[in-house]
Amino acid sequence: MKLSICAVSVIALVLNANDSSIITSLNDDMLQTAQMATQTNHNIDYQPFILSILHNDDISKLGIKTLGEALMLIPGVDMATNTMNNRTPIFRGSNPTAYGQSTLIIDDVVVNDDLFSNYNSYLDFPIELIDRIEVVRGAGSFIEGVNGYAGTINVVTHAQHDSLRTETGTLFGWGGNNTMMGLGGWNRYHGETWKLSLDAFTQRHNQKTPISVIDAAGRSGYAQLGMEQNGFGIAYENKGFTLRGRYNDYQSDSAFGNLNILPNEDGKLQQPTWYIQGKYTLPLIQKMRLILKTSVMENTWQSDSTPLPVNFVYNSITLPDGYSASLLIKSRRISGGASLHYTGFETHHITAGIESTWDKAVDMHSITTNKVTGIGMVDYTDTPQAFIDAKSAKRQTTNLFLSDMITINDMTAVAFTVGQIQTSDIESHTNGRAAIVYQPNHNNIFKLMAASGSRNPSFQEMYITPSAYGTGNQNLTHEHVRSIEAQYLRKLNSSLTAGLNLFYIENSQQIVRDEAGKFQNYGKSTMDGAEAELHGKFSSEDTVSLSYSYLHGKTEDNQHYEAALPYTASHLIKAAYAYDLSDDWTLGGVWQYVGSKKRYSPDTRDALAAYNTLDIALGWNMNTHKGWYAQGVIKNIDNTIVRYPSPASTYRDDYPIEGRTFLIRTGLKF
Amino acid sequence: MRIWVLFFILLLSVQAEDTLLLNSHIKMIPKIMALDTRLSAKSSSNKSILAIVYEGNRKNVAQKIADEINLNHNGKVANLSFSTVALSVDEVLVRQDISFTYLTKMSTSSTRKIAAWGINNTIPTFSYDMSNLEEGILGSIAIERSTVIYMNKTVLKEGKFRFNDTLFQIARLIE
Repeated sequence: MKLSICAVSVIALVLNANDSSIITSLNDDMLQTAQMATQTNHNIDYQPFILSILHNDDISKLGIKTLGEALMLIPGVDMATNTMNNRTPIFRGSNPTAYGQSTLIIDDVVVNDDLFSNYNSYLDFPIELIDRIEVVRGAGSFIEGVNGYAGTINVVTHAQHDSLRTETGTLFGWGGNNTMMGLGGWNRYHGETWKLSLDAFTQRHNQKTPISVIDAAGRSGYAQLGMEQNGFGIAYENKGFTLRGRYNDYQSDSAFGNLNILPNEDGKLQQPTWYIQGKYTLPLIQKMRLILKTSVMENTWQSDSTPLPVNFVYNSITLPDGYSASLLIKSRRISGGASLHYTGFETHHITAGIESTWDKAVDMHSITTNKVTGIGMVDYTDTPQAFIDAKSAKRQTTNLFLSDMITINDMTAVAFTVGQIQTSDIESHTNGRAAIVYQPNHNNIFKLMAASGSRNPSFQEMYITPSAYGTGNQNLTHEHVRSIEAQYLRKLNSSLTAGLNLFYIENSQQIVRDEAGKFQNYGKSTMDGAEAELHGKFSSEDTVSLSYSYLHGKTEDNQHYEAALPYTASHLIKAAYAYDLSDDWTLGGVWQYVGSKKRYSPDTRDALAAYNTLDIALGWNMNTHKGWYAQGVIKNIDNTIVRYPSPASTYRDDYPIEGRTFLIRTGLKF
Repeated sequence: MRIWVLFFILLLSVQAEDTLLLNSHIKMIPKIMALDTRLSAKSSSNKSILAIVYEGNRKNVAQKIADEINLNHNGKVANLSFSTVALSVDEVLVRQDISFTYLTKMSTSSTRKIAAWGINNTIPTFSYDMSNLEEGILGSIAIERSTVIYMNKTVLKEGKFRFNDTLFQIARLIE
């Protein structure tokens, strides 16, 4: 009897041990899955942001070729440009005449430049090099230490090893009309403890405006919008140490000219940039790690053109040879920082950090036609007539931040961030954000978010010297935003999510040009609106993304005069759908409607008309991760003239940027 | 981490489903099956049978999931020996030897049929799609802020399912 009892007890113990090991193993699986989901932002619906993710596999099927094109799929995002075709995405109508409203991060490095605080030179970045694009609408720190203003774009290239991709490399190329052509590739290598990723590409086209334009002097012609770009990226990881670098040589035509007159066709704008970042993750104690980062970046802006033609009369001076200008400014950014991550409290993830940045103009030249006689070239570099006050263009910024993600219970999580930014040339400011995510059940998620953020003025807004383009103002302070956002997400099934977002945004101290062209913190605007979206899959053969954005906004100037928000569309509709016709063939399409855009109140022109475009892409073997693929794409099939708004007294018919284009691309994944 | 990378490589042609989610199911479903305390009573042989159920022309997808599970677990979780097979909805409904079912994406009517069959025969039904719990499916695994095993409390009672109690400490029971 005693023996039997012992035997049963032993069996019970063995069984318990088995069950216990299964439970432990299940727990490990759950943790690993959650970890992977967080690393790849797979669980975006549960994050305390209004977040969209564009995956390479999905957007490639739609015929999307560049980062800039991909961003246009995001609800509430539109594009604006200027006379040099310095494009910038506009998030929910936030100050469309200023740059720096959104921040672009490529593999953990902020790439906005110093001069404009913009990232035009990355908007043509080929989609083939990108694993996914994460876009946050609204203010707040989505990426550690980065204070998003109107939006944050986080590009994860194939260099990042948290990707779920299975191929280890791709070679690709394309060709199309306007002598569009490109070649590139990426590859990943790894050993026991190290990983190395390389990518490189070259591309060009000689596009021009789809129609003739009339400049401020009444001359007509085509503006040259061609570009040439060469890029190279490297990422190396070894035992917690990461080294990343990227070189991006971007050159474009002088477009509409920086004096609102059609420039010479050979005029060029070069914007080469490079960076190197080192990062080291050091585990301190259990559940505490220290991340150290340092980086160096250089951005150059160099314009060589003849913005005013032969015998042009400008400011009562006749220019027998026209007005030529060779302008260059190179800036360097050095940054270093440390952040501490602690997950020792069961329901908290606490991050605290500090980052210091030194930005400085390190080279400048300003050689133009004699501004007094109009005859001959003069080097104004070391004179007050140089195009920018380069000696003053320097800034030291220290950013302190603290954040916590608190899981209250299964249904509720709270996140907050506070930060203090101290800047050498403008006043200090505090940022903050609080969000609550409530999930009463699996299918329904509610989020409420409030934020206060800021944007520092760029070098051009503070330091350019008086010209027809504008006048810098060294007394500027930061732009400020306060926002409240709410999101409701309904998971229709595991693959399909519908969402409704409501937002109220108040921008103050907006940097705009006054009547004399000087940058001032005059503007104030409020925007409220809604976004309805549906994204995911109806079936295993398709991918769908539908959105409608409504925006109502108004501006108020320093005289308290109110007007409708200019240069922004109240209605944006975006529909993207791709369907696998068979195992080999995929049909994709993007339809976009951009509503009409009002002008600034003194501008008597009619509102910029609404337009819509349709892109169609037919792909072969687009689902492959090993082997060849090919795709033919027709963009803007109806040849609609896509125009971005121009300010008064520049180009009266706005900036016609795009007509119909087509391309064929192919590649080999291995 | 390497094992995870291997899974993603193996899952190349099952891209229709979400790779990360499917991968977590492949790892976890057999372990949940092993916690079914009535498992031995359902199996006529030494090996329990885990059925990956498909509808229409999705046999390929189901077969690949079955292959992945067999490859990953090598037919064994702790003391439990099992084999994984891909079966159509109609095939499952007439089989007597199934111990556990996992449903790939399928129509609501087929989901309901399998759910009712599972309750009547006390065969646990888990699904790729979390929303199938509304159709009477017993459980699913979802990736939210964390990974969550969902189980339908009503179905649990109706089908008289019995699992090791520890499972209920990590699973979330919903009505």
